[in-house]
Amino acid sequence: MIELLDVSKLYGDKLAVDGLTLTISRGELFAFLGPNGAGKTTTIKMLCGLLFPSRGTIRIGGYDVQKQGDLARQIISYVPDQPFLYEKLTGREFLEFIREMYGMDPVQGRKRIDELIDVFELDSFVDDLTESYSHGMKQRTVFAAALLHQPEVLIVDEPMVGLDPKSQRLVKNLMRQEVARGGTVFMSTHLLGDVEELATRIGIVHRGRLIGCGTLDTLRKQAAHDGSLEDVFLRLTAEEEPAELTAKGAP
Amino acid sequence: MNELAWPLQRCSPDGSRQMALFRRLQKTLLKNGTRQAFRKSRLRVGLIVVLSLLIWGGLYGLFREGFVFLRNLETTVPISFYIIELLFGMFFLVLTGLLIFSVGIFLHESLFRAPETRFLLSTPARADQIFGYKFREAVFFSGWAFLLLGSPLLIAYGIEMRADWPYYVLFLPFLVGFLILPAAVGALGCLLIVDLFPRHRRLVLGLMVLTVLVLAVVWIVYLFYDARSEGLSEAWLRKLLNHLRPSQWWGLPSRWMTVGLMSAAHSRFDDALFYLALVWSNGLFAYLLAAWTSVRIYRRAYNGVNSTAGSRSASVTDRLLMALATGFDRLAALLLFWTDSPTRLFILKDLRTFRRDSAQMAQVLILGGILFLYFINIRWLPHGQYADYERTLIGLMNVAVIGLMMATYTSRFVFPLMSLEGRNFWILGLLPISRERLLLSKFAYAAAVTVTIGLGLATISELMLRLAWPIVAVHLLAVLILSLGLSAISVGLGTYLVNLRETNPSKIATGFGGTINLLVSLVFALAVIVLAGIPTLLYFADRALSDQDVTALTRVRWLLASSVSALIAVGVAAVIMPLRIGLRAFRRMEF
Repeated sequence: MIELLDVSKLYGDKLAVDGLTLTISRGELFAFLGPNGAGKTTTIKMLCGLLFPSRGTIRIGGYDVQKQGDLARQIISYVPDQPFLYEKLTGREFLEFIREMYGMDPVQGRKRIDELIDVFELDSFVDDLTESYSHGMKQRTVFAAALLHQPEVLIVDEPMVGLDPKSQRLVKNLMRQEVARGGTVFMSTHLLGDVEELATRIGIVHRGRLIGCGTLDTLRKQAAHDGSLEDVFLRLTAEEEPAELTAKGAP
Repeated sequence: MNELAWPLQRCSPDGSRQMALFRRLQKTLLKNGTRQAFRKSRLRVGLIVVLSLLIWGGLYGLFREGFVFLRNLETTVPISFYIIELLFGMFFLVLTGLLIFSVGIFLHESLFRAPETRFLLSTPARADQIFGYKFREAVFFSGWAFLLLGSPLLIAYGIEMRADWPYYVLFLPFLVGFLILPAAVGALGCLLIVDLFPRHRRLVLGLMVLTVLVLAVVWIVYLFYDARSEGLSEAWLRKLLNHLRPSQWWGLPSRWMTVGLMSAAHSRFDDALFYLALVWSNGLFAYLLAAWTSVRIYRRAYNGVNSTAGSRSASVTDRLLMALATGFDRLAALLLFWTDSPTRLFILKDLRTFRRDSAQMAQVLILGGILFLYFINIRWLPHGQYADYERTLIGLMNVAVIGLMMATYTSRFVFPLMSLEGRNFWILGLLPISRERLLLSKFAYAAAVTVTIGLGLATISELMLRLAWPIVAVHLLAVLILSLGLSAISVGLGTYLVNLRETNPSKIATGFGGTINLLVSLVFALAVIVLAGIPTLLYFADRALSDQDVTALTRVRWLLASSVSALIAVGVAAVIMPLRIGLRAFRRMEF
């Protein structure tokens, strides 16, 4: 469903993503991990077609994101770390806008909007202007909008930020449901506990390169360490640090 | 939720459906925003409406008087029709240039930097539909001030010409149609510059603006220099008007507007409709070209702009600029020795934010550079050929230029200062500085810049014109009052009409609040210029009277003292009133 073939991205002369090759199948929840500045958000932006790779090809659902972007984006939903909502629209008006943008059947679409309002418990504020929403309310509205057209690929960047425990549980359950239905979820996060709980496969990116990819057990084997994901992550990323940095950072 | 078939029935909406969707979005945003403004801040809306009406009325009166003056001039110099034709041509030509650049700059921010665009580009929205949606927004923001300025002019003209009713039906489609062509050219230019020079786009734009402005200044100086031998006479006026003939070239949209509107006013409706069709068809064609280009390059240009940051190696120029900036900050900190530490830090924060915004910085440098160029060129004027009185009038005209340019500067750069605190506005509430001092520090920051530039340029001008010291004193006083008053108006109204949700300073300045601020600033600047002109004239009246005519001399000197006092009183009112209004609003704000 998602294919990255030898993808690299340059910002000026800085290599942000370096020869990334990755295939994610239908029905997978893929967690994308990495330290700050590792290239996670750049990769996500390339998946959505916001940025173009400097080298390589990205395909979503078989569509080349650069050449057939409009078709690829038809089956994608993207929830960024800082979600956008029109402040002078109500939550319901925003959901209606998304329904029309994805060309959904009006009757079916409105039924789905009502369901999502119910699922995300938006009914108490969905008819207020979104400028009055708290961060958590905004995040829930954005998730409802992202799931409205039932995307084949859901791309989420730090999905749990600003959500209360109940909403976090809700989002986790919905992502599981999406995967169970055959959808694909690509999630970038720093919350390793969530990754252990949800991910079918994990990719660790560091300095733009994919340094580990597989199930938690595969990564444990690669790191030669039978601990938590946190231990495995730290060990793998430490191995990639230059020797002098590791020495300085060592306790 | 599970009962629905998966995946849901959906289809990629075609261009026309997306266009309709974006139109509905714009309509809903406008409706919700207006409804909320009426519900939550009726006083502010009322004030804005009343001020707009007052300003519209003032402009109408001004234009009406201008046309009456030209009609009276016709009896002595029969060229008023020709002057109106030229003035209309120049008016629309200047507006064409302004609209091209303002729409281009506006679209640069909204197409390439705004979070909304990032959201839309991640949806199936087509590049040309996003472009069209943002284009309409840019035309609305850049165009409504043009309509506020253009409508009183054209109504005054119609009434003066005793035009038939169809003229009043036609002039609005003329104005709206005229907006499209320069806006489309600006949009096309923006797309091409960003696509071709993603890293140096601001530099390229700055150089283009600078080139146009330098050419304009050189041309203006040349006009006056070339016509100098005639003195201020009918022959001089005719020669000057002849030099302006190129603005009447048939291929310019400004010419189509001029001929079309004048034909409508003279009931030649066939001609008027032809030119109206010419304006609209060319505008729509230019828009079509821009939209067609956006399909091909918008996403690529967006990628280019957002792939330039983060270069590891700083060039020698970058390092030099960084060193200069650090030196500038240190110098500013030294010059602010008289303020206490928190206030100094606050002013320095504003200064740093400002100088790091390359778009704003480039605009200030261009504005300052042009003014400097103009004033330096005064030395080319043949002083020997002008009497004291004429040189004094040129000096007064320079005060007017400084005032009007400064009104533009404060509206563009000072008015958005408070709004740009944006989402972090609450930090101001937590700072260990009183709100009075916060507001005054913004005023001090703005006034320090305007007073330095204004007085500097005025001094150069007065010295080069070799004016008498009492005249110099009045002119410098007027510039000081202009600098302080305009800074206070922009800081005060910028706080009262604060817009914390907008991050784009151009949008804040061209929005409703920004335009009201600009118009109030222009009215204040005109009042000061008129009040500064009275003592200038009285000074010559005083010199013309003999010492024996004591009664007349006393009356003139009393009037002289009164007009200078009135000038000072207007200045004091312009500083205190807006700051008080701003402070009251600032105190009421919740963080």
